[in-house]
Amino acid sequence: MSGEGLFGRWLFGHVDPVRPWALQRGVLVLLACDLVVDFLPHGGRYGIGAFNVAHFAWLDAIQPLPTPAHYVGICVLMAFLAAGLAFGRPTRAGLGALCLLFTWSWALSMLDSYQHHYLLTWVLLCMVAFPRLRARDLTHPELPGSRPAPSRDVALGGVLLGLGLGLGLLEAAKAPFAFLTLFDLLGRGGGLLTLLSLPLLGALLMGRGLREEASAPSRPASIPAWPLLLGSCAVVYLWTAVAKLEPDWQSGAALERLAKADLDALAREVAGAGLPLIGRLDRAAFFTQLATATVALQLVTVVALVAAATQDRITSRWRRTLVQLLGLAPLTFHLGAERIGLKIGWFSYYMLLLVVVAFAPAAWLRAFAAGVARLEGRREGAAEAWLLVGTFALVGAGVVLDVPGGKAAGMIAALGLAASAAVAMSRKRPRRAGDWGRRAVVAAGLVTLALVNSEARFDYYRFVGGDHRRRGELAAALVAYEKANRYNLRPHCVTRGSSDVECYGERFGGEARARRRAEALGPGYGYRRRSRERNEAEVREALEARGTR
Amino acid sequence: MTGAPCDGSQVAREPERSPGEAPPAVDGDASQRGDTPAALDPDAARDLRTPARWRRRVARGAMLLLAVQLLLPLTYYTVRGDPYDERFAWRMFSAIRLHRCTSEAVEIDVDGIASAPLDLRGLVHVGWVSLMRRNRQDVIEAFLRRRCEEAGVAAVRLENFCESSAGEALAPQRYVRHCASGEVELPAESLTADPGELER
Repeated sequence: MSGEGLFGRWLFGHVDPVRPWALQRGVLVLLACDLVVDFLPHGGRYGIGAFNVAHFAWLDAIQPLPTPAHYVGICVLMAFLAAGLAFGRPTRAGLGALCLLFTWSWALSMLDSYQHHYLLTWVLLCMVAFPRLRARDLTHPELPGSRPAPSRDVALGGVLLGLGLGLGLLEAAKAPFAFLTLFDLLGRGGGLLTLLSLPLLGALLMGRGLREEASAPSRPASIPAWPLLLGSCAVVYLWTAVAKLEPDWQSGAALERLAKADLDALAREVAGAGLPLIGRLDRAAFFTQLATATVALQLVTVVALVAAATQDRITSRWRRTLVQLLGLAPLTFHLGAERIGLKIGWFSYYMLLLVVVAFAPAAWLRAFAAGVARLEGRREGAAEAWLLVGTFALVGAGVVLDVPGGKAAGMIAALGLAASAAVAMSRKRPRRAGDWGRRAVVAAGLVTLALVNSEARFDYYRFVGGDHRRRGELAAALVAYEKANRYNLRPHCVTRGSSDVECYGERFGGEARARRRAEALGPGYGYRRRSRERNEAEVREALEARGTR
Repeated sequence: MTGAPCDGSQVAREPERSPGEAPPAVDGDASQRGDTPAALDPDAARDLRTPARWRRRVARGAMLLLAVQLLLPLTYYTVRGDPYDERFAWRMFSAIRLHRCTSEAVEIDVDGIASAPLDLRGLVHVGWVSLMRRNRQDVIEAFLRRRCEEAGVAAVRLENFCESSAGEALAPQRYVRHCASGEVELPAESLTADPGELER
């Protein structure tokens, strides 16, 4: 590698293949859920009033006016594709198509102004160049960078640790889409106990096996797309830090305006009782120092991400530990961002996933991968049967989702499945065709589960109802409100001011739990039933008065 | 697809079987049971080797990609000239993003008489109204163009009244389109990040 210089050594240095494997799978699953849970609810605004401005003028010139069915259909189609690619060996054509479709989904209208969607385009582009691996490949002796398969205990421990850490991160970040179910099922005590016991049990099971596995020799693997992806993310943090060097941010005024309940409470606490090591700070000084600390944290994150690419070739244990510790900077930053409730979509979840995959010891990830490889298992069955089931699953999911464009997305996905299968069959690879059928079943199941278990349809239809009502289209508003109320899964909410802090479903005494929680949180918190029943009644009454329905 | 990867090393091809055939003698899981491991998929093996002759091209491509990502945000500070258009510059929650503005739009007829303020939320989706309030110039220009298509409208004016993140009032941002000529007047004063310059 001599003569390549510092950049070449950084780009082509050894990377454990488990890292790109884990990130690719994680991002694809997260994206599939993100698309139907967080993108889809905003689909109703596209093309309203025949008005649209794309991010690029040339796109406006060549694309048709987007409609809700158009946008939502693309989201559902991408979700099927992402989930299908996640559960098996991904293909470059599939990843490339996903990257293109995703880029179009945000570029087609300035209504999508989330900057992290643009970052995700870069991430997906890097992933096109990732090695096309399945979990079981990682232990294959012929694979560069492979290591022997860990024992069954280590694999089980890896899965439990991964599950525990994942759920813990989601809870720490107050993820709105997860964990309510776990707490619904087990209560707060049971949920916390599960959270603590899963990683502990996992770590115990992994025990000594991990150390032995990590010390086994392996041939170096070069994956230039991995450092490139980390470098791309480092660029984001660098410029974000630069933007925060402006006086309004440095004075703390911008941060103070962003502050939500948690940060406000902390500011009061620091001004009153003070904090250990820091002591007392008045409100203005608190926000000024926090603003400076944020910039520092982001600059450390830049260094951390660049250094993380070199982690697997560092032989010195303390230097490797130092790199891993640098990962605490982005971890703290994103957990903090979620705690104070910044409206940044699922950006923090993608970044938390990246932090875990980039900075965790590779042996932990390998233990998790070994568990996944066991779950992958031996899969039997005729390709034709799987293809048939897969086709029905995609078309059926498109219908069950009950969103505009859903049926079309299911049909297009089924056609895509048929085309992929035809290509595989023509190359005399029936097993691969059958594998696509199985993956279609899993993708349809995951996307349906994510949507029907989320508030996405409630949000979608209440937004649509509100917009129709504003423009006097009462019949359309009534239809939307009826659907919104049908899909309202968690109507019992703890509120603070006009914001909903957390909401509970009807099952497991949701109303009583929300009321108890509001009381426990103290002054400023309350309970309300969140629904669009009143809106529906008002619109129905107005329509009856008009006599037009 | 051949079994030989780009760097010349030999990698066995994964055996394919028809549905009715007996299961393969080797399978991926075999390696985990300690048996003879399955043949490695040629795609997987090839993707983990970068042949020497490709390295220079890959390095150049990677450098180009990183350079584009580094330089694109720089255009915000140098050539773009619109402080409110923070796209592709990674300025999440910047001080400018936290400006709070209210919009007011009127149509002016051929006699120069201005209409009552337009109900923006009734004309376009509330998402576009938010973007106009944020002084997103492309959106405002498209909106003004659209209103000019209405009969009897000679000009359209949209004004944003903003305050900084510190709560200080800023100069109104005024956008006017003259329908006949298509000429657009943009805010006279370009905003900078310095709040001292923002104040009037």
